[in-house]
Amino acid sequence: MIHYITQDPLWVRIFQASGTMLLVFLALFVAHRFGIKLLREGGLALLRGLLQVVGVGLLLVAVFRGPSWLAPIVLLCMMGIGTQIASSRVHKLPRTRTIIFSSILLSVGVSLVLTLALGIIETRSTAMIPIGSMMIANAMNTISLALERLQGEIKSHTGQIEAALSLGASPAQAIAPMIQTAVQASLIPRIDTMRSLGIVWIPGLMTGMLLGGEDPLRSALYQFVIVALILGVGAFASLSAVLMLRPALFNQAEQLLEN
Amino acid sequence: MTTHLLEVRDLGRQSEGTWLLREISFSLQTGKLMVVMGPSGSGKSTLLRMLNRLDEPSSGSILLDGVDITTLPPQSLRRRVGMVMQSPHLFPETVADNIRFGPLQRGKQLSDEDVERLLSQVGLAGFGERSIKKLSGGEAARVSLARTLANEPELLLLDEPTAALDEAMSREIEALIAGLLQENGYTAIWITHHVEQAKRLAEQVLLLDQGRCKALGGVELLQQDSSIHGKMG
Repeated sequence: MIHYITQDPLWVRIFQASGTMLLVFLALFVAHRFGIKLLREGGLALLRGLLQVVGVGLLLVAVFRGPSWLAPIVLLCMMGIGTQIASSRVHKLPRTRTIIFSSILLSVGVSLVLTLALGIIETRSTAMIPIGSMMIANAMNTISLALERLQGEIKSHTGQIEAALSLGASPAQAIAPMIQTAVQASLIPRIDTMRSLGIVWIPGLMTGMLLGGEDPLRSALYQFVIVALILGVGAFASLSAVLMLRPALFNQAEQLLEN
Repeated sequence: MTTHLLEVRDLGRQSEGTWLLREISFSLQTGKLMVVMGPSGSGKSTLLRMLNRLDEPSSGSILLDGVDITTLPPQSLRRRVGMVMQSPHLFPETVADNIRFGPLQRGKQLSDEDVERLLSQVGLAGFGERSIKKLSGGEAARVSLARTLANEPELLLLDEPTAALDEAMSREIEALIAGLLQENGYTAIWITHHVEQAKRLAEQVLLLDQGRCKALGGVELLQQDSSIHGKMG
């Protein structure tokens, strides 16, 4: 239908985006009628997402044409913004910004360096930035889930943690079950993604490659590499975040601090 | 010569600008049982938490066997000063896992016989492999006690261990703990709301009110102070 109105590829995309937004607003409105108050937050997130992705599209044009050292700077900026978003969910925990940024930097940095060194990812900006950004976004989500869950676990198991401390357990021992639960819970969506890969959904990267005329087998293998990388980065990010947070939950006298 | 296992000097704790407890001083001889009483919010639990160092004092000092507890490693102190909390807060999965928990923290693995002996002491022989999910309130309270005793503490802190139980079960657990304390010569501090329970147990009494020491003395305090009966319930 859009093609009857315009043949201009940019306008086609603008129409597609507008149609999709209408669909989302319809869903949010229906949810609102059932008392699920997501209209404002969901609507703002949608508009923000659109502006951000268009902005990044324009920025990427400049970055891809510029020198290769721009790629790490762009990724660092993404890490900073990811940190801000993730920390807003767990603002009651101590030192969250530093911990989240360090965890993203560590997990994504190590994974990127390794995959670049092994030749799994090409060093050009057009590969490094999109794949790096996927890693950052997933690290951010996993960390957010892990810390939020840990916060909840501590709140609901304060008595058990203090009972363990009172019996002579170290803070690490006392909080170990909550750490395990938080990390496991944060990785469930990533593991489900891996389990459903190709059967329930064909991810965006593979879809894009197929639409671009790439061989399906090569697209599938590349997509697997990316999803596996995301799972690995997520596990590393989630674990490093909770382990970095752990000492900040207790004071010098090994007492659980209120969070 | 009498020895004081515990000495508390001018102890106080402030939280968010409010004194929860202040100017508390007492000493407790080895093998004696002190009952702490006071209305809700009078600072009883705060006192026990500071003795186990789950909370930090804002003023004063606590000496265990003549040594300031802040100079002791917290894990070692908490093993020596065992605490039975108001709620059992048992760990998953089995009763035996709970009994083994404390000694395991310092690398000591209790044998099946050790576990059974501790469970027998609290009247739960044969309960080792039972899931904690299948325990009644009274059984959970007993496991909590046996778990603390597994650490062989020098001082036992009991924070209303019978508060969550019905009258009959409360009397049963009280008799069990009192018997164990007497048989093993434990030094203990027991918080209770019940005047009659305090009368049955106490060798020494500390009455708290609004975070301050209202009275400190022998069991006769409970007979003399008629206001206690109205306030503690």
